[in-house]
Amino acid sequence: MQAIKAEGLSVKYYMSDDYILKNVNVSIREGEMVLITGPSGCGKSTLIYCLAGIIPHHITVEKYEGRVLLFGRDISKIRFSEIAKICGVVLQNPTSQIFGMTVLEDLAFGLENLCLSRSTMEKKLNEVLELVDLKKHVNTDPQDLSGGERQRLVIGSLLAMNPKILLFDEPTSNLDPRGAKEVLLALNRLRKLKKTIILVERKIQDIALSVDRIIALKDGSVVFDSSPRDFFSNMKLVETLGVSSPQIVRLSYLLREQGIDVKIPLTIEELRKQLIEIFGGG
Amino acid sequence: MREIIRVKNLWFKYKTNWVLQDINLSIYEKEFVALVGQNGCGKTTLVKHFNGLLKPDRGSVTVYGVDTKDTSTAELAKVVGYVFQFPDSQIFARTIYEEVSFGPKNLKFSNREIDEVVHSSLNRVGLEKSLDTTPTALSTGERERLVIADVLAMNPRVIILDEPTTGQDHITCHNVMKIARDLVNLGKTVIVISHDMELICEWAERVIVMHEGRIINNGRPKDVFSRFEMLRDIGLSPPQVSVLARSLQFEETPVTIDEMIDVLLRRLCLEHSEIC
Repeated sequence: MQAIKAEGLSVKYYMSDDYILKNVNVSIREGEMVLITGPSGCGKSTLIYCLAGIIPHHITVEKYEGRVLLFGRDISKIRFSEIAKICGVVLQNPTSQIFGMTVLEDLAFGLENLCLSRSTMEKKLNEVLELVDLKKHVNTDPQDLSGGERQRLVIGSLLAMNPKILLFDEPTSNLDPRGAKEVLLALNRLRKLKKTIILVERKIQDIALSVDRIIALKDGSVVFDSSPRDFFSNMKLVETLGVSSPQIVRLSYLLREQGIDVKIPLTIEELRKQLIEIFGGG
Repeated sequence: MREIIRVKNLWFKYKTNWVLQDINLSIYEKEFVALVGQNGCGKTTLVKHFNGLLKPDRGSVTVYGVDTKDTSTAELAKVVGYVFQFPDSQIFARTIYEEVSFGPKNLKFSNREIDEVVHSSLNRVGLEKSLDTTPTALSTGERERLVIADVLAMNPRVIILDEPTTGQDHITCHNVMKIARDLVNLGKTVIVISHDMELICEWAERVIVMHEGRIINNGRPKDVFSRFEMLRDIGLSPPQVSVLARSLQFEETPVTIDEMIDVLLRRLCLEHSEIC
């Protein structure tokens, strides 16, 4: 089933000369994990804001043409409080979304507002703590958490509300390697729960291989919409977008230039198997 | 090579927490050194000792033979330039010209000299914008290059780049590292802090690995990134080509794509001598 669809979406901010999004058509199915990428200023974050209903509900723009459909309904006509129950948004800087004095308090905030019984809340909180791997930090002040842990806390707070769709604006680009790895693990756990996950990232080499589909934007228009393998098979496009490809992908291209016939791999294991056939192992 | 920074038994604490513990380190002239480690391991605290922003609680740091405790941060700033992690925290002027000329003005350069260094510094970082442009109109990558130009205008002999690649796109990362390499070729010493191991392997000559306030490894990228167990213990990942070579049970540990290609082609030649 289709979760979110943008139809002929064009957006122009006040004071800007040009449209930031130009006739964007994208469709995301329920349970899909989709990566939106492209160079700085291409409209990635604006698209996420539109898909989450933040534009036009909370950010007003000069021009908003076309429409976004959330499970078939025009998002501009749905009350934002209702959208928030379906879509959870994780912003680039997790600190801006954390306000509890302890991890547990932060996670419980949304549930308390739903007036759930204590036992239901406890059950839910335990599930969420497990999913985002923060059990040992229940009583920790969020200020004392690392960047990756804070990012996972925000994911947990949203998960507690059980949204069908989760949208992430650059969840790993400002984290250290350990933090980024932890967030990726959390995302993969969410995938198993059949959540629809939409991510915006510039640094895509680690994340790109885990997603179902990549949508690339350039100057506000969709220039690519297909699988990660197709994306990295089009090196000219990847270079034009200025995004980084995984080292194994670049290695495969250079081997091809040397006349060694290898297929574009998505994992180290895929390339290892091919190289063993060509070179022999050990 | 000439030793320009010497760190001897350095201990430093914020309140009661020792964030640097018994650091011993030498940095040499014209080196391109990378500092790596997880957030909070002490990288930034260490480099802030090189330009006197922080002074040791125990031990000593000498820069070009001068103990940092015996000189002012202003004096050290002439020798050691520091580009902060977030460019926006360093930018305050209304125009690009005002921004880059601020440092040399404070160093009492003449107007002609200021003009010259502003132009040459912007040229060095490839920022070919009108000098009247407001820095806020620049892209993130351009602002990163602008703060590098700020520091270059003071003509320091050592340049510290604190996480210049975090949150930047691929092209900006490579541009920044290329600028750093050019500076080393011009005789400067560059110390860069980064989380991007593949980029470091491609550009830096030496890697210093920090963990919980201590230096736990220090050497050529090839040597440091062949220590998989050590890296795993502190949550760092070696470059993909290194992992690939290990999975193929190669004796060598290539850290760049070019090195991996060399290893593979040599193997191909050994097995099929007729084609080499």
